[in-house]
Amino acid sequence: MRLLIIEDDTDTAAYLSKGLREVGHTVDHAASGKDGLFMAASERYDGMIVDRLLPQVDGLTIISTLRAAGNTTPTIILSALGEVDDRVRGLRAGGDDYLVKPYSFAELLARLEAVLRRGRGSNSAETVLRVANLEMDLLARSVRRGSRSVDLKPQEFRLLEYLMRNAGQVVTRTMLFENVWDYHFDPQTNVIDVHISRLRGKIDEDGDAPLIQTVRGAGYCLRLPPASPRA
Amino acid sequence: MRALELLRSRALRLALLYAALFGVSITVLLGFIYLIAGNYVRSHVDEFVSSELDMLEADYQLDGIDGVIGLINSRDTSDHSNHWLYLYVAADGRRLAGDHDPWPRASPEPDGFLTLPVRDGIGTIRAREAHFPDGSRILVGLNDYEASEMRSALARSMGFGLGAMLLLAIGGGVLVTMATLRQIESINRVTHDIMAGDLSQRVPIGGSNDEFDALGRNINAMLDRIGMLMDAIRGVTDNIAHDLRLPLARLRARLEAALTQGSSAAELQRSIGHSIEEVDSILVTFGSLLRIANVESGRLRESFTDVDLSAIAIDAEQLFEPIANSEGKTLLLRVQHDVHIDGSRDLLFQALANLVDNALKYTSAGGEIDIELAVEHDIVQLVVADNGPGVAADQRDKVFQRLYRVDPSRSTAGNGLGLSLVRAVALLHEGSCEIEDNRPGARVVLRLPLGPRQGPANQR
Repeated sequence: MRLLIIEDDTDTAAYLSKGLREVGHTVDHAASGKDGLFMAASERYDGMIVDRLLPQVDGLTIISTLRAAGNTTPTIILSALGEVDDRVRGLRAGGDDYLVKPYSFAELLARLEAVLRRGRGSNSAETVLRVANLEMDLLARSVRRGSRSVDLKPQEFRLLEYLMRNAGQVVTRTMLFENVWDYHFDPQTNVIDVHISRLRGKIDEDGDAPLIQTVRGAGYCLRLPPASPRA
Repeated sequence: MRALELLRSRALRLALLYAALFGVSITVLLGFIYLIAGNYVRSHVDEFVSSELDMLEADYQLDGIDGVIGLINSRDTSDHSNHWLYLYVAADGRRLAGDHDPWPRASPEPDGFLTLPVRDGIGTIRAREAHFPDGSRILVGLNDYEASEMRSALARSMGFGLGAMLLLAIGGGVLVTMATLRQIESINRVTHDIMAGDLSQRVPIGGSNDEFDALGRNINAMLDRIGMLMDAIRGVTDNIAHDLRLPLARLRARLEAALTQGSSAAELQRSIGHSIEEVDSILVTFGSLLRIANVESGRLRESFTDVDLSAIAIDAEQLFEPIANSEGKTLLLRVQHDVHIDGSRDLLFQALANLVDNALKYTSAGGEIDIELAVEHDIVQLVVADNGPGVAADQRDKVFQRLYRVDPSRSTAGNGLGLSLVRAVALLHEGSCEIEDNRPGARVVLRLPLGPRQGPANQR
């Protein structure tokens, strides 16, 4: 994927560029709002990471200008301003996600992958989601693991749906909290982990391969476990 | 310096103004008295003159010219020291009796009287004339020196009185001003000391319960409040320093150990992992402090919307139910439906989540936590109650202070900011937050004003 980072802090930009290149992206960097707006408007990018506070032209202006010109490149806003209304303003300007500094690289990467995937417009019209032998019928609101029917509460159903829509990708705890519970703050407790472990207990029974993987230091990922010598 | 101050002071200016006003009104009043008293005496003089003339006219009727002459002469001799004036002249102008010679040239005033000057002495003479049928004329007058004397006496006393009054007014004004200035100066001295840094100074209270005492008491109350706030801020600053020093010291030790003890790559990685966790916890504390400050600033009120508090309570129960269950605790929900308030959905949920999280933290296995939501007299009561150890009465206010922890060793989990945020959120929503005794346990009560938009269940 070809990405554009608009960030005036050179250390942060270098660190982000390096990390994103390591996972296989091509990265361009603009150090000012003016350069960034010019590059974003004249070149074709798959995704953008835009700092909110920039010299000359600020991040929200860049995004709203691009959106007004019909540019729909998926965009993540980085900001030191983390209050509810800051976030709402960022998303209203046309950002696809809003990440408050300081953040972990894993969090940024997971969110970037999510907005890039959304940008490709996949699986939005699907009525049945499938991962290995786990099947979710969105119309009947039912879940099956192999031949066994899995009984889920509404909250658990939404949690599993989000994991399945992002199957194979890392989703962080805050992403789950934001997208499944629809509240925007860092819960700072292990409540999400307990929900995940309860969901695990329902979809993985004896003999099933565990589908919900814990990714250390990042979050969770729904996929078949990598083949291990013992399996 | 002092005299200048006195001149400049408002009180003296007021005293002078009042003295001037008082002087003018007294002068007008005395002026009236002067005129009225003078006229009163003059009208008496006029009456005397008229009745004397009547008597002479009656004598003329009885005895003719001789009768008049006889009467005048008898008066003249018997009452010479008197200030009467008589002149009786025949038709040819010859003087028949009396002493006022010659006949005055002045013509009578509209009231029939003549006002004649006195030849030797003070005052004026009020006189009347009469003409008899034989052509003789008589003039009778009386000196009105009494009126004049009275007037000059009045004028003298008025002068003295006015002078004394002005002196008293100005002198009194200066005295009042000095007293006022002394009190203002004592307040100024105290405020000056306070500006110089001594916040322990207080304005002396006289005890006379006047406006200056009220001002002094208000200033003292204000100073007490400022002192309390400064103590609180100092406490928070100390707590922040303490709370951040500890993890920073640990972090430093860990990094130093990793650097010096030529560790393996795996050990280094573990050290760095732990270090990041340490840094993250510091960042969380900072983030929470900033969030509380932001909530307290009231700025977020601009983005208030209609919030379904019942739905928030239900969400909180659903979020925490699995963890409560896994710890062997019961989470009960007693919620009135369709309770709406004007507010921030995220902040209200975070406040409730903090309370439930706290309750879970402080109850042991088998404990019970209640989430209650009810409307009473247009006040929304959101309650999180537990049957844990509770909060001692003297701690119930302190636990809302930033970074305050009941356990001084700070060994329990948490950063001491959860309840501070809850109270800040309650205040942002123009509500309150208190801890009550749940016998046993703690009962945290959020009271919030009911929103303007209510669901059908509450509409009447």
